[in-house]
Parts: sequence; C-alpha cells; structure tokens
Amino acid sequence: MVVLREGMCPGLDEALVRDLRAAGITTVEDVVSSDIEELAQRCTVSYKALFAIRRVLLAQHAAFPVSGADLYEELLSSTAILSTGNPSLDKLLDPGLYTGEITELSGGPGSGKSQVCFGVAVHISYQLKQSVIFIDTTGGLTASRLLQMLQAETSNTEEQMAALQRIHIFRLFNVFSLLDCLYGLRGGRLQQACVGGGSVKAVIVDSVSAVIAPLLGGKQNEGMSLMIQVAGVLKTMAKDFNVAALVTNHVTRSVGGEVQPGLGASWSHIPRTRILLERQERAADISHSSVRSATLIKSSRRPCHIREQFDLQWWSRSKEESSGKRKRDETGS
Amino acid sequence: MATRKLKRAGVSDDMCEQLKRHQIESCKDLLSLSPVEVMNVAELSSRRASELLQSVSRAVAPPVTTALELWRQHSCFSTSLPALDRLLGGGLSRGTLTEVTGPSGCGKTQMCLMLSVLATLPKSRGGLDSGVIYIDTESAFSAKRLVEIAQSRFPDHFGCRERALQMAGRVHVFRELTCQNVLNRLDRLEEDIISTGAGLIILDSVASVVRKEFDTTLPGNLMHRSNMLSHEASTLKYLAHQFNIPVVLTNQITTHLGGQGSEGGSGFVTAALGNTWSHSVNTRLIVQYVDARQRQILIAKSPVAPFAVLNYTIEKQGICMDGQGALYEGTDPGLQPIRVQTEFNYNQTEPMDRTEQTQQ
Amino acid sequence: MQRSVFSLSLSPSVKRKLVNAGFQFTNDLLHLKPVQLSKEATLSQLEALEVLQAVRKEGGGGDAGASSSLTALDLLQKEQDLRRIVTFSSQLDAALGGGLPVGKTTEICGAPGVGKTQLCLQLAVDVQVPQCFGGIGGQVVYIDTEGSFLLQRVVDIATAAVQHCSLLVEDDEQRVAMTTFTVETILSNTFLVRCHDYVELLAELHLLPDFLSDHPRVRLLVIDSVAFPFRQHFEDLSQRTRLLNGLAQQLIAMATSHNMAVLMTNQMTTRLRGGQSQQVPALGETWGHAPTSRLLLHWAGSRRLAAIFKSPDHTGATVQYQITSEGFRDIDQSEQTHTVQSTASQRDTGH
Repeated sequence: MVVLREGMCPGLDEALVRDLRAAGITTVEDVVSSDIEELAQRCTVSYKALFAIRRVLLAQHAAFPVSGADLYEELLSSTAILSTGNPSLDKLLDPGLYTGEITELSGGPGSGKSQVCFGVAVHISYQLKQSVIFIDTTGGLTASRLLQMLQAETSNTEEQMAALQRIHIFRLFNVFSLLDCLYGLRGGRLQQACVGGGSVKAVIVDSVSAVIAPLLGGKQNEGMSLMIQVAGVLKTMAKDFNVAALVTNHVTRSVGGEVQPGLGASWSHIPRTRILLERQERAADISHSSVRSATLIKSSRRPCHIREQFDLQWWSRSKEESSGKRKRDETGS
Repeated sequence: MATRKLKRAGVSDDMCEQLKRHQIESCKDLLSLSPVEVMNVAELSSRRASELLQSVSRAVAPPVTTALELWRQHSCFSTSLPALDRLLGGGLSRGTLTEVTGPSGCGKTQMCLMLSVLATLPKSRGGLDSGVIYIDTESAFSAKRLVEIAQSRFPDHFGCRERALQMAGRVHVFRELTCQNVLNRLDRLEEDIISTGAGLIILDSVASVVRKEFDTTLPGNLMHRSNMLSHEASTLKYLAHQFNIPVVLTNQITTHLGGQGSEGGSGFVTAALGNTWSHSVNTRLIVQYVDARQRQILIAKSPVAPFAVLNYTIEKQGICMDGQGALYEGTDPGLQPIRVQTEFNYNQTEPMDRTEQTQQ
Repeated sequence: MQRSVFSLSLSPSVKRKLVNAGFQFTNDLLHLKPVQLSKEATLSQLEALEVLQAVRKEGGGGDAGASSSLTALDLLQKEQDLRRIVTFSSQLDAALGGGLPVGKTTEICGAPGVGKTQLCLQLAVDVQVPQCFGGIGGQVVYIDTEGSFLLQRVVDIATAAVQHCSLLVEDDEQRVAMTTFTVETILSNTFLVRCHDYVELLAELHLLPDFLSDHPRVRLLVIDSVAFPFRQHFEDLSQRTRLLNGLAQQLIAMATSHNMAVLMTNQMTTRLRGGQSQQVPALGETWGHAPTSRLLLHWAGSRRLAAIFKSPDHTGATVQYQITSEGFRDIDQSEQTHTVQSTASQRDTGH
C-alpha cells in the first residue's frame, strides 16, 4: 500500500491524482485492483493512459519471481556461518550462526544467555575480525567482562583494543528506542559502523524480551503489533545486510511446570533456530558450577531436542586456570 | 491516596472523560497500566503519555524527606525494662511492627497489658500520654489484671483508684473473633486512632483467628491465608507510619517438621504463620520457658539489636527482668527453636546453662 | 528502506487514522506539511505535527539512536571512570568484583532477618564515603516499602563508618574531607521515601528521573523491598508480571543514564517442585531476569552466607559475613574495621 503521488510515473499528474482520489482511489493498490475501464469513465481520463500508468505501477511495486537455482547461488555466495567460538554450541548450531537468520537463546535467570552473547561478540570481533552490533536492553553488558574474555585470547593490548573497537554498543531500554535504533541501522547506519575494519556480521540483542514483555497482555494488542514490528525489522535487516541476528529471550513456566521460552506463540515463529540454556543443578542450593546445558528446541537443519553441555568458562578458559580458579577455591570453602 | 480520582490529580476534564470510557477513574487505575496501555486508552503518543503519567504520579507519590529531618523527631517507646530498652536502642521503634511470639502462658498477653499501661503514662514518666487500641482476638484481655499491673507497677502514680480507672478508660478494647472482623476493624482503624488519640496499637493475637479459620492442608488455602496476612501487615504498617506509633502483635508457635536447620533432625517448635509473615514484622521477640517460674525473652529479629536473651519472671506488677542479658548464636528467625513447657521436669529444678538451652 | 508507521511511538488511534488514509510507510509522510496531513488523515493539526516530528526524527539520517551508540572500548573507559561502592566487607567486595557496581541493578534475596536491610543500610552509608578514602562521595535515595528503615541503625552504622575513616586520616585532603563526613551530613544526604503500596512505588519511580536531575550526586537507589508491595492485592498475576517488567526497565534506564547503582531486596518464597519444597526468590521466574546481579543471603545453621547467584562478570562465589553493631562485616576478626569498636554486643557467627 503506497499512496499515489504526482510524478510517481509518467502521466500521473496532479490533476489526475486529485480526480482519482475523488473517485476513492488513493493508493497503488487501489489502482491495481480497480476496473480500469470503469475508472476511466468516472475520472474522464483515457483508458490507454490509465492502463499505461497501471503497468508502470505494477512493474514498480510487484515482487520478482526468482528461480530456486538463482536463490541457491546467491545463498552460497552471500551466506556465512559464524562460529560462536564454543565447539559444543557450534555443534548444536550446525555449525554456527548463519547470516541472514535470527537465532534465539532462551533461559532462566543466570543461565548464561548474556555470557554466551559476550563470548560470541568477542569471538567474532577478535577471531573473525568483523564488526558486531550489540544492543543491550538489560544493562547487563560490562566492557570489563569483554576485556576479560579478550585477555584470555591474547595478551596483546593493541589487539584487545582493536577488537573492543569493533564491538558497537547501543544501550536502549524501551521498545520505541529499540525500533528507532533498528530502523536507523537498516537505513544505512549499519554500513557506517563498519568504519574501523571488518563489515558488520552480527547483530546481538540482549535481551529482546526485556523490552517486549512489559507490553504484552492486558486489554490491548498494541504490544503485539510492536513485537511484530521488531521481528520484522530484525528479519529484513538480517536478510538484506547478510548479518546474523542473535537474540535472547526469557523463559516462563507452563502449567505443567515445564520451562518454555517467553513471548508466546507469535514470537516462536520469528527465530529460525532456538536454543534453551539451563543450569545443570536442579537443587535449590547454589553451587557455582559454570557448566550449562543447551538444548536445541527449534531448527530447520538438525533434529530438535539435541542436548549439549558446555562450560561458560570456555570463553575465558585460560582465566580459569589462573585467577578465576583461585578465587573460587578461596571462597568456596 | 492512590485511589484519588484523576480529576483531583490535575488531569483535564476531556482526558478524564476519555479514560472513563476505559473504566479508568482513579490514579491507581492509571498507574497500574503499562505505558503502552496508557498510550492506547488515552490516545496519546508515548512522550505525552509519559507526561500524563508523571503529572498523575506527582499527586500520588509520597514526599521525599532526608534522614536528618526524621532523626530530629525520632523517639522510642520505652518498655520500662532497662535491659531490653538498651538492646533495642531505646525501646520499641515508632512506625514499626514488633511481634511477640511464644507458647501459651508464657506472658505474651501480660506483655501487651503492661505496654498498654505504659502508653497511658504521662510523658514525664516515660509514657506516651495517649490512648491504646487493643484488638483482642482470643478474649484474653482482662481489665482487672490491667488495673492490677498499673497499681502494683506504679503505686505512686495509680495510688488512687480514680486514676487507675481513668487509665483503663483510655485502653480501647475491640474484641474481634473472626478473620473478616479483624480485617474490617483494621480497615476502619484510622478513624479509631484519631478519635481515641491512640499512641499504641496492640493486636493479640494475629495467629489465633487465622489458624482457626484456615486449614492449610487444603489446597489454595495457604495462598488465601498469606494474602490475608500480608494485607493485615501492610495496613498495620501504613497506620504505624502515618501516625508514627509503635504496633505490637502477638503470634503463636507451630511445630516445624523436616529438621532443616536443626541439629536433631526431628521437628521442633518455632514461630507460626510461616516465612512470608516473618518478613512482615520488623522486630521479633520470642518468649519461652526456662523452668516453672523463670521465662526468657529472645530478640530473634531486630534491625538494631544483636541476638540476645534476657531472663524475666511474671509478677504482680507484670514483667520483671533481672540481669543485663546475654548474647546467643542466632539463626533464621523463622526457624528459631522455641522451648515449650513440656520440655522440662517440675521436680528437677537444677539450673541449666542459658546459652546451651537456646542452642538446643 | 521502508518503515511502517506502526513502529512509531504514536498513539494507536493516530496510527490507525494514518493507515486508513493510505499512509503505510514513513516515506509517504516525509514531504508532507502538517496542515495538509491533518486534512488528509483527519487528524488535529497538533497530532499531525507530532506525526511529522516523529517521522523526521527517524528519517533524517538519524541522531535518534546514534547518541547511545558507542564502541566497547568507549564503554570500557567509561566503566573504569566509575568507581564501585565498597561494602566494608572485603570478601564480599572481592566476590562482587570490587564492590557494588554503579550503573547496574543488583538484587539481594534472602530469608527474613538474614541481613538484607542491614546490607542496604550499610551501602547507603558507604556510598557517601569521600573519594579520598576510596569511596565515591555520593548521595542516596532510599525507598522503604516495608517500614524497615531504622534511623537508630543508620546512625550506628554511620558512626562506625565516620570513626573508621577518621582513623585513616593521613593527609590534609582527608582531614578536610572529614569535616564534611559526619553522622549529620550522612543523614542529610540520605533521601528517604516511604511507599505504602505498589501504586505509590510506581508513582515515585515515574518522578525519580526529575529528582535525580536535581540531585546529580545521587549514586545509589535502594528499594527495600520490591517484593512486599507486589506480593499483595494482585488478583491478576499477569498484570503483576507486566508491571514488574516495566519497573525493571525503568530502573535499568535510570541506573545507566544517571550512573547510579540500583539495589533492590526481594523476599524468599516456598515453591513445591517434584514433591519437595524449596526456597526460591519471590516475584516469579520472569522477575529473575530484571536485576543484573543477584545476591542470595542465607543461613547455614547460625552462619550467614552471601552467594552471588547471577552476575554479568563473575561466575559466582559464596562468602561468609556477620552483622556487628557497626554494620555488615567480614567474619575475619583480623580485619581493621572490626577492631575499631568491637563491643560486647557483637553478633559473632563464630567459627
């Protein structure tokens, strides 16, 4: 649905637009779906002129058919698979984050969603030398943690700083600024962010539920509409710019006590791949194990409900051997 | 306050009409909506919606004071027991909830009666020179005992009978024997406090009616019970703060099963009404038996005092304390074991080490 | 790149009118004048202006989100400028990575009487420790929903803190700082709000951004507790969840924009799972995502333990602590802070 404007195509002048509007035709859609012959009579325009206009408008606005082979070719040339840096997760994702797709991580509080996001961001910026957009909606991002992870990778300060510079952070706390930001990125700022080496290969939103969950429910569906907007812009951005989108989601407990990702059924169609992260221990007592289990709950490539275990310490593994481990021994007694 | 009509919160007539169509009439209704819902019902853009929320908030939000201002008007309600007062930083704090819990016959009601007498004393004698609201749910209030305590504790002040009767006249007793009645009473209490000039609220006891009416083994009842209790607690807290007066509650005991936190592993006796209720009280005092005559008071939860134990006896003049009290190793106030009467032998009057007893 | 008008922060009825008039995308609106738009979409002129402002803000090449964009390196520098609030318990500080983080939200959960309020009061005093003593010299807003803010206790803790600092004085700068670090100034830098129900709490939070702009030195917001007002009067639990989610976002936004630490307390509740009852933080599963860090205070017999349950930069640790007459402290007696005023009335947890 695009409003008819003068100059959209040859022959569509101001007078004609006015006449068409008087006849109840205001958008391209209206023109295309109306009976040209009858319209020509009502607006006293030549049938030929109207027909020509319609043809041009159709050509401008219609979708092109693309053959599957072409699509495949394009896919092969443009799709990249980004490793998360963690072998277990890569195995689950077969074998990493696909550009052009939305991947979702869900899990309870402290299940390691943010840690995985940090790890992925660091891995892409340091190992793959690509830029990352990190949208933080929970205030959970600390650059010192990113640095800590980088220090595990390299001791070269310059490289660490360069890697940090490739991670672009947005801190937004409501859905409208998230939308503004995403549209801004799609409207060209994504390329601008590349300055400083490497193109943007991943957009991480941690967490998408934090801004959307407060909108849902109650006697209105405005929240749902905004959620679909977020989903839409994320999807098109991933596709158009060939970036991998990684989002996090919270979990809710179903009536049966089973853990399931939040945001309801409408959202569940949005991510192409969904992973559920869980703490290993089931008891109430707080043990500080960094081992988490990841379960694939939606995927178009691998059978679902595959479970992998991984260690959150992976991204800062050399850290664990030195100070991290000592700290835990000290306090764990 | 929160139920204030939007019109009185400076919202324009047009907007009130608009909101009324969505059954939103009070500030509470509006503030219970999320910003997106407000945009929807008020038909405003998000910026204007947040402006509306702010202006309504201004009418509802409580004022900000500095702690220094409060400190200048700070005072405590002395319990007339110097050792306890010293530990509690001067007595019972105004504006807070103090709970006395323990087995029956241990002196909870005695404590309440004594505090009632104290509240009516003139300020020069450490009292509040005010009335008392006494909500009695166990029919345990005895006016005779009240006068007796007054006359034997302060023989010089209550020497003449007239004064004692006057004192008794300032203690307003409400006998409420069902949960609903207690709730109704609490909801109306604001008026009673003003009309009686009350400076102390006593609820003796919270537990009896609640435990009588709710069989917590039935599903759903526990939920209902905790809703009711937290409603009671918030009403009392509201009153305590608004009038800056102390509130004293009594609670009963229950057997805690499961052995969590106890070395023995078997059940033990602890304060009733559960964990959520324990959060609601600011100070928890536990009274328990030592032997046939001696009792103990334990400070089990207090923002100011350390865990401490004090010995007392119940005399004609109420509660009498000797000694300065000792410290003990405390634990979760919800799980603090309480000694009950059945645990000692009347024939055996051998004194035991205090601290050992409290550790069980 | 076409953006749907549905994604603008406009009122739903205005958006509906725009779409009915055929304006589906923001591009269709770019070249319009307000009067023209108001006629075409049957909007009031004021509404039309608002629409166009919203569209231009977004479409004009974008300063909308740009201001909040920064690289991780910028953020790192910012973080290093922000000092943490020390707790006076060196073990807890170490577990927290140097103290309570400024610009983040932290939740303390725990059983009744385990010391949640004590830690809040301690931090309310600690945040005011002058910079030359390793503090951040800030002010505190304390929202009390349970009536558990006890002045007497604040005075005790403040006295101990002042005394502690006065023993550390070495140079002139510190001597000058001590003249303005007294119990009296600590109390006057503590802004107290008593909220009786969730409506008052929500209202207060709506007003807080303005208050913070007027008081730029506020570095700590304490809400003790979030749980109490939200555990009653709620028939509809989904409404509660929604309000709590919104509240969480408000707090995080404030913490970030005002460089302020947000400290909340939460109660524990009993949950039955698989026939076994266990103690879990109240307010439900979703709320658990709200705070950036979660600290769990619990009893182990007569010992008090603090466990870090969720944290963005540390995987967790458990430390033992005690509540003394001076406040929240390590159990280690050799610490300097304890020797200052060790009195008989110490709640020693013993070893």
